[in-house]
Amino acid sequence: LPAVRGADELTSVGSVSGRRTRSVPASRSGPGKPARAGRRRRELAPYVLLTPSLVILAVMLAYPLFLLVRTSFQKLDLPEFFRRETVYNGFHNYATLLKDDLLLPVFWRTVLFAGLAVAFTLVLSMLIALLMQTLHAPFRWALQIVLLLVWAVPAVTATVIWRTLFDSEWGVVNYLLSKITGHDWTNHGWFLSGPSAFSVILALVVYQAIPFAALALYAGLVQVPGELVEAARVDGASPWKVFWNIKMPMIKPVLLIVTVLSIIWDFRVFVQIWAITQGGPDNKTLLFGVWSYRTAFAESHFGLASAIAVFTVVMLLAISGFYVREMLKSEEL
Amino acid sequence: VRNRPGRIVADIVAALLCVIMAFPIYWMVNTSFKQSGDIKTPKPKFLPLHGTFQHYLDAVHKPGFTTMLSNSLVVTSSSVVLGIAAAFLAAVAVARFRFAGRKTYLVMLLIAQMIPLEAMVIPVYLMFRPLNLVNNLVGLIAWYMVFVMPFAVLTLRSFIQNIPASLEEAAMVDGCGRAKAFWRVTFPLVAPGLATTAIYGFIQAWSEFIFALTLMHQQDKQTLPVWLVSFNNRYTGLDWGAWMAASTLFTLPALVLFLFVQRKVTTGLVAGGVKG
Repeated sequence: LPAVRGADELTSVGSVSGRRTRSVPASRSGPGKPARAGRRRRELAPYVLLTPSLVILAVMLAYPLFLLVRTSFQKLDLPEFFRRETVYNGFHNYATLLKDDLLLPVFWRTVLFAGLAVAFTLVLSMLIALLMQTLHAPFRWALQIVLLLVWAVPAVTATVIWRTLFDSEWGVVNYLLSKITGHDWTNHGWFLSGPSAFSVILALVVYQAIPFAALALYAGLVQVPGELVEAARVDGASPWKVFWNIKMPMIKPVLLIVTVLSIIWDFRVFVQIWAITQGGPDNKTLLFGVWSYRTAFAESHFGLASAIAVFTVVMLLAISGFYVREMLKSEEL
Repeated sequence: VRNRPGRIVADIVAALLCVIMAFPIYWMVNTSFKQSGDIKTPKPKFLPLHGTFQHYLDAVHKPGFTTMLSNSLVVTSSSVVLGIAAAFLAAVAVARFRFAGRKTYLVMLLIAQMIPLEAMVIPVYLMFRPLNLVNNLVGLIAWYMVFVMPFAVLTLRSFIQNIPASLEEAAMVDGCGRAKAFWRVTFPLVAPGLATTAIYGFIQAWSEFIFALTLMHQQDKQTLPVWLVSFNNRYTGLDWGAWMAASTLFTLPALVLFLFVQRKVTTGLVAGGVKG
C-alpha cells in the first residue's frame, strides 16, 4: 500500500514541481498581481518613481558604456591623455588587438579559468549541498556557519590571507605539505610559475564561490518533497537515480541561475589576480579583466584597453543574453 | 536514518570540510594575535599562546588608517542610502503598477547586472577626470550607487510583491490616499527587507576594490580595501601581524552584518535571476 500511495503522490507532486521550485524566492503573489483595475488612471506615478533610478542608470551606466565604445575608436595614449585631445582612429585599436600576440592566449586562458572555476564550484557545491542533507543536525549547523563565514569575508581579505598562506618562506601550506608528503616544500614559490599561480588563484576563486552556490542548491534540495524521494527509494531506485531523475529536475531553475551567476562572476575575476600576481609571471595568469586594466592604467593605452573591454562586455552579454532570452520566454516578469 | 555508518562518515567528511574552509579565516585571526616573534617561525604556531593586541594598535596607528576608515564609511553609507532610496522607489513602481516600458526596464536591470562592471573603470575614469571627480569621494559615491542599485531593485521588488496589495486597498477604503496607504501599511512591512538590501549593498560597497584603486590615487582619498592590498609593500615591509590585524578589523563589520542578512541574500540572488 505505501508504494501505491507514494506513486500517487509522485504524479501529483510531479505535475506542480516546476512551479514549486520556482517559488523558492517566496513570491506568494501571482504573476498578474500588479495589474489591478482602478490603477490605470495613475499612469504618471510609476514613471515618477522610476526617474531617480533611470537617471542613475543613464548617467552612470549607459553613458559610460557609450563612452567605452567611443574610446575604443580613439587613439588615446599618454600624449592625447594629457592634452585631453580626441583623436579618432577608426578600427585601428581593434586591428591592433587582433594582431596582438596576447589575445589568443588570454582568451583561452580566460575561458579555461572561468570554465574550470564554474565546473569546480558547481560540482563541489552540489556535493556539499547533498552532504548537508544527510548530516546530523549539529554537523549541518557547523557546516552552514562555516559556509556563511567564508561567504562573508570580502574578496580582498581572502586574497590577502591566501598570499600569506602560500608564502614561500613562512607559509603554512608549505609547512603542511612538507609534513604530509615527507618531501621538503620549504621555499617552494607558488607564484613563480604560471600553472602553479593559476591553480592557486583558481582554488581561491572557487573557495570564495562555493558558499553561495552550496547554500542556494541546498535551499533548492530542501524544497524537493521527501515523500517523492522516499517513494522512489521504496521502488528500488539507487541513490544516483534518485539524484539524477528526481532531485536534479526539481532544482533545475536554481541550478541554472547559480550557473549563470558563477559564469558572470568567474569571467570577471580581478582583485584576486591583481593583488597576487598582477598577471605575471610572464603574463601566465593574465585574464581579460587584468589585461584591459593594465593596458589602460599601467601602459596608458586607453583606446586599446577600451577595445579589450568592449570585447569582454560583448562576450559576457552574449553568454548571459542567451539566458535572459530563455527567461523572458518562460517567466512572467 | 536508514544507514547509520553512512551518516557518520558524512559527519566526519563535513567536520573535515569545516576545518579546511574555516582555516584561512582562523589563520588570519590567529596571526593577528601572535607575538611578532611567533609569526614567522620555521614551524608555524597554530595557537596564539602569549596573545597580544599590539598588532591591532600598530594597524590603527599606521599612517592614514583613520582617514581611510572614515573615507570608507562616508563613501559606503552615502552611496547605499542614495542607491537604496532610488531602488526602493523603482521597486514600488515595478511591483505595484503595470505600465508601458515596465518589462523593458526590468530587462535593462538584468542586463545591467551582467555587464562586467570592471570593464567600466576606463570610461568612468575618463568621464570623471574633466569633472574633477577623480580623487573626489563624490565620484566614488556616484559609482557605488549604480553598483548597488540593480540588485536592490530586483530584491526589493520581490519583498514588496510579497505584501498583498489588498492591505493597502483596505486602508484606502478607510480614507487614506494611495501614497499614504503605502507609507502607513506596506512600508513598515517592507522595512526589514529594506534593511536587508541596504546591508547587502553596504557589504558590497565596503569591499569594492578596483574603482577605489583607480579613482582614488591620492593617499588621503583612498578606502580600506586599497590600503589593505598595498599594506605590505608600502608601509611596513612584511609586518604580517599588523597586516592580519588590519584585515580582521576590515572584515569584522562585513562579517557581522552579513550574518544578519544571509538567508535573505541567498533567496534574493536566486530571485533576482529566477523571477527577474
